[in-house]
Amino acid sequence: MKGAERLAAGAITAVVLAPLVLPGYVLRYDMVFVPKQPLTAELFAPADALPRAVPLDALVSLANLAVPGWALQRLVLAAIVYFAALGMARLVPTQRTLPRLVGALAYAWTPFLAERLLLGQWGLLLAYAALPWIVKAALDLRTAPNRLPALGRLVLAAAPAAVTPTGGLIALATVAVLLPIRAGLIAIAGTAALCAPWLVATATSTAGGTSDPEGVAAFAARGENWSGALGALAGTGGIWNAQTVPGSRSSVLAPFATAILLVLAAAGWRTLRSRWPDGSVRLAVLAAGSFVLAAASIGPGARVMEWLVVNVPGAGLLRDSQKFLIPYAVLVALLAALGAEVLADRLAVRLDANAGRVVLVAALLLPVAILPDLAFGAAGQLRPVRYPAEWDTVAAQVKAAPGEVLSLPFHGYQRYAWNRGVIVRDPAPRYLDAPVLINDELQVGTVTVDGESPRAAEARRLLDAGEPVAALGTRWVLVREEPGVAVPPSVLTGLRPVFTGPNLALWENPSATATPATTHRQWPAVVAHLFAALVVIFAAILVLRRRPTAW
Amino acid sequence: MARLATFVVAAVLGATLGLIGIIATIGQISPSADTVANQSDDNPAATIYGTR
Repeated sequence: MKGAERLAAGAITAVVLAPLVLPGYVLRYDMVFVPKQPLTAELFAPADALPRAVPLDALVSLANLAVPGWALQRLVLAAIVYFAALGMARLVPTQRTLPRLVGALAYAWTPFLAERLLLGQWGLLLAYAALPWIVKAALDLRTAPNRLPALGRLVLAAAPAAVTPTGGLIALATVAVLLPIRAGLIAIAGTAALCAPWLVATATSTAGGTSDPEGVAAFAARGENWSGALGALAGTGGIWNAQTVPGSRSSVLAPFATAILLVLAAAGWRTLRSRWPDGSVRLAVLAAGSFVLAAASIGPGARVMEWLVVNVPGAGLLRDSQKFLIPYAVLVALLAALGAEVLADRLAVRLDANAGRVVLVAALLLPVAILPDLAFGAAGQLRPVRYPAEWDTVAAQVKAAPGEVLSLPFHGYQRYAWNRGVIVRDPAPRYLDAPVLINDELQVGTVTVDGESPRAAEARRLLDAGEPVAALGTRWVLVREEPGVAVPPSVLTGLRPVFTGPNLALWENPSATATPATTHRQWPAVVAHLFAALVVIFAAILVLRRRPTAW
Repeated sequence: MARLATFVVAAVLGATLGLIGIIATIGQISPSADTVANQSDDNPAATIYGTR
């Protein structure tokens, strides 16, 4: 039975990520892997930006010491899909294989996974993959005769989720809701300890902590077909970006297929209640909370969210609220698997066993029928490309004479011909072993959502006025050449060209000054990273000190 | 009789899944005008994070 689950998880992974057998890097929106990401203090605690990728970036840099970027990207993406499927298969409380496989498909073949994958948010998807394991570990902790190994398993399951602030919050909320406060206090403390890196980085950041209220509407859940935003959310879709939505989501039948899935889920509720008498209600509360939060940016909730992001430091985390839908996705997949089992049993009794199996196979295939274009790298959208060789040349030149780099055109995201015209975040901060100043404003359609970095704001002011950027004092200016995205010659006045290629140009600033002195201290964040690492090591020791469990 | 009923169940479910799958695939291959309008990039600078 375990073999079938692993086989199914492997097959789903292979089908979803098939194009990754080609060489190169998949570069889409927020997903930027480079050959070797340098390990810099800035990754532990960004000086003037909110720590959205803490400790994720530091972990990538550490892993890059042993594994090249192209291999690391494949390992991570494969692990996300594989463990999401396997985790859900093992979470479904049944002894039968087919319902478990229904759960695996219902969770690893979802609009949520497809849309966030296309937006390149693999850090969030680590939390998606980890959540079934966190739920399982939390429920086991309630009943385990020996609590320490169970506690260790819970902390280990939560660790991949806590590599981003959003994932950490979801893991923390899951543990807090699924476990009674008194019994779960240590578990909550352990999960909170995993969040220490980004909590400390936030506390020591000079970026403030409040966000532009325009971001609430820009990143609110979005309708994908005639069922509107709520209908999209009910089917675990509804991401804000229309460009990262698989075409099948616009199908007129998509809402009906979602309705079938929800009817199946409703049929499974009584079974879940009987098999998890207490845990089921707590999981339902968690899922309902996640759905409400995901829908909070639409309708009357939008004003509350706007007030929160303006007045409550850190509340900007909530503005892309659809990402909090993960617990809802877990519950729907779990219930759909049990609902299919219930329906199959009834048909098996009334007709014959084959009729029951037909229902289970149909339930198994339903997620694929709803979303056929997740297959083969979302119908070819996850296709690897190679970086132009100039990136290595420029990286070597910057490494030979380190100093701050200004990356132009001053846009955080850009299409490149060499990336098949796909939008991707500027690779410079990860490719170059130096602090890189990029624009942290986000342009969503015609709306510009303000960033937090005062230094980026200073650069924008110079560029808007057409004044030479040499005045910023950066050592280097990198120009990413693309037709139609021009850098006015006036802004390069006073700079000396040191490298010019078809895709990149590097200019040196003879009047460079030292990087502006900052009062920002990174050592508390580094200590917090070490603390979280120790918690993970301690949890691993707790697990390894006992015999292996069934999972 | 049971076999016939099973066949009917399989045929109905197969047809339903097939229909959903075919319509969804058509949505991918030939998206609606609304979808095309939403996903078209009207920013010549091509430096946007996304469109709604």
